[in-house]
Amino acid sequence: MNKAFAKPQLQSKIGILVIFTSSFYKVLKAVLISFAYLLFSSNAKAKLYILLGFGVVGLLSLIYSFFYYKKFKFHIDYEQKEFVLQKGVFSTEFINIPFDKIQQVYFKRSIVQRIINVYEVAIDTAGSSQKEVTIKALSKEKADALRSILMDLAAEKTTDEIENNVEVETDAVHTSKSKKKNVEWKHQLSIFDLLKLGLTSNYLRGIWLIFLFFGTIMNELNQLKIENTYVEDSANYLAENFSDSSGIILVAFAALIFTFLVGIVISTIEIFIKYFNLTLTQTTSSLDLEMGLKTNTRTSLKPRRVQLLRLSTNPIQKRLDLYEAEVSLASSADNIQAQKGKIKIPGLAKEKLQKIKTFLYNRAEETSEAIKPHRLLIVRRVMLSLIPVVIAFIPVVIFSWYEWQIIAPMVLIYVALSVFLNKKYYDSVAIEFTENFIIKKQGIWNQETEILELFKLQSVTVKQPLWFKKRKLYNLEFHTAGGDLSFPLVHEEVLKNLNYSFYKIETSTKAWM
Amino acid sequence: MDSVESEFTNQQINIDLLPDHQAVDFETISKKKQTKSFYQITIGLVILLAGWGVLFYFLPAHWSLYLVLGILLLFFGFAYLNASLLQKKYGYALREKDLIYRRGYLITKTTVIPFNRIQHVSISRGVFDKALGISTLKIFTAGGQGSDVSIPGLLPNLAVNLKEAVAKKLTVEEYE
Repeated sequence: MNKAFAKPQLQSKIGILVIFTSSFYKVLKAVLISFAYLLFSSNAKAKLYILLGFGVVGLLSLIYSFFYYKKFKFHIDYEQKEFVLQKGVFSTEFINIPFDKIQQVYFKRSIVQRIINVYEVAIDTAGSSQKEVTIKALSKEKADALRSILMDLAAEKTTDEIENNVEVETDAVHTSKSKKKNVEWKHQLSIFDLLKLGLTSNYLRGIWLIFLFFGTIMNELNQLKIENTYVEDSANYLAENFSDSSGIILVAFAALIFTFLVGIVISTIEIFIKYFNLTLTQTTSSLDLEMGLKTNTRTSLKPRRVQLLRLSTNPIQKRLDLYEAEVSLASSADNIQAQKGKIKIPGLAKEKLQKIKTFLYNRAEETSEAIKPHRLLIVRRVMLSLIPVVIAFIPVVIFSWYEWQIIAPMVLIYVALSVFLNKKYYDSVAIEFTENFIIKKQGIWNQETEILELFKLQSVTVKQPLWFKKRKLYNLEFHTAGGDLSFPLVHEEVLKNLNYSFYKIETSTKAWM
Repeated sequence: MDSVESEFTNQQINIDLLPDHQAVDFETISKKKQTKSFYQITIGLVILLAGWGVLFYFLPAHWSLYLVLGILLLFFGFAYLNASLLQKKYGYALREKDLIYRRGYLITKTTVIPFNRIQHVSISRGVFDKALGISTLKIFTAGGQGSDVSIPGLLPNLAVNLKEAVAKKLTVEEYE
């Protein structure tokens, strides 16, 4: 192997621009309020000072960026078997990443990075304290070279433990070029696919985003003490024209439909931004994924890194043969709950999904008797859903109990709906303990299947609330390096399946990561 | 994978005959853990009572002040009760290939950690631990917070022994 990157080196010169824009952007974000003030205020003097301030901040960021660029050096230490990064303008920080701690190396590209044609290389580590390390600007050749060298080194360090023959095959003298030829199959999302996905996805998320968006805007406006006349005007208009109960219901209904429609649009836009140009390629050793409109990310998945697999679809998407796979990778302990280690691949046909499964697990599908939770789960979930109603009821009882003709039917409908949906949920939830897997299924609309390979388990927690002691009911929690999988209210008898899980973990000599 | 020369067996596995993780006898932890909790709660109580006293002295007498005092006392009464109830539930057990740790009164949690999934083990001793002569054994896995375990109220010698026992298992596993 030639010793590329053996000497400390700088990023691409043009990278100063990337560092500058990102640091200037950070500063700008922090002073966004004063910027808004600039737009709204009529005080010319204040405007001048603020503009001047921005100029100074811009200049300082530019100087800072230059020194940051000069001080930012990285190299591969082949002797010590680690990747070394040195950075910091005022104090120098050394970051050493041993090869075997490297989880993944992938590319990211923001708009700026794409305009000036550089790649951001991110190195994901398995340590608990070290976070992801990024090199902001490298030319395509360098980025590609660095990635393949690091990935090879990371694989080399651990191949001796790997049993997965798929990986051993490619371990020979393959260069990155010959690897690219071994494409087994490809999955691409066209604009039409994205549109289909957007229209059939979960709108709740889109609606939630609207609320968040308006919430922040209202907050900012309030801080600026700008009179929000629209809200007051519309409130007055509503109070004048729709004061009886049927009017209120009509307005609420219209608002609901409007929100729903906007939710669809927002969800679709989000999907376009996130998954634009998604390409999934399977080579002999890994699954390579590329996607994104705003930031283009490229990742390479190896079966060994995968800790949990979640497959999901909904009835409409099922009809259109669209399935989603979400892969949880081992990530550092601090951000295990965060989305970082999770990679979503939407819009897969069933046959492609099957291929991913076979590739990841290298095993035929297994099923066993589905175990259901105790029926008390319905009661528990209905009770939980009633908590907001009870809380909302307290002011109602105090202030407007005389409106009971409207309130009572609404509460009744809510309770009936809750019972119905939770019954449906109960029907959908089940867990299977097969020879090599734990499989959990759940979901009324969005039907999810979570698959956990037994030897990837880290530990298991069994919880028993005091009030379920007599009934001998337990909640299960399976911990993996890629997140937890939990299952509620199973009977004591089910716990003996855990003994089998422990047996499997404790006799396994395979590397779980 | 095992080498071919090693004795090959392939017995059928009967789930009912596998060692049962529920059938272990838990070791209890030192009573001093309860004393430690009592000390900590008492310090909190003293600080809050002092704060209440200041308010009582400077503010005009009002019924809400007494309400606050009542809630405070009730809360701390519950905290003492909880600490003594918790004490009975702490327990750990070592098996040949894993460690089982149980805690919690209202919700009893039992975590089973196989030795070949433990990342590292450490012993920590806070101010109270030092004063009372106890230690806390911390066990870390790659499974995140839910999976990590810290066993409080161990006598220092025992904690060291346990740590060494676990560490030994870890190295044995690696060479197997």
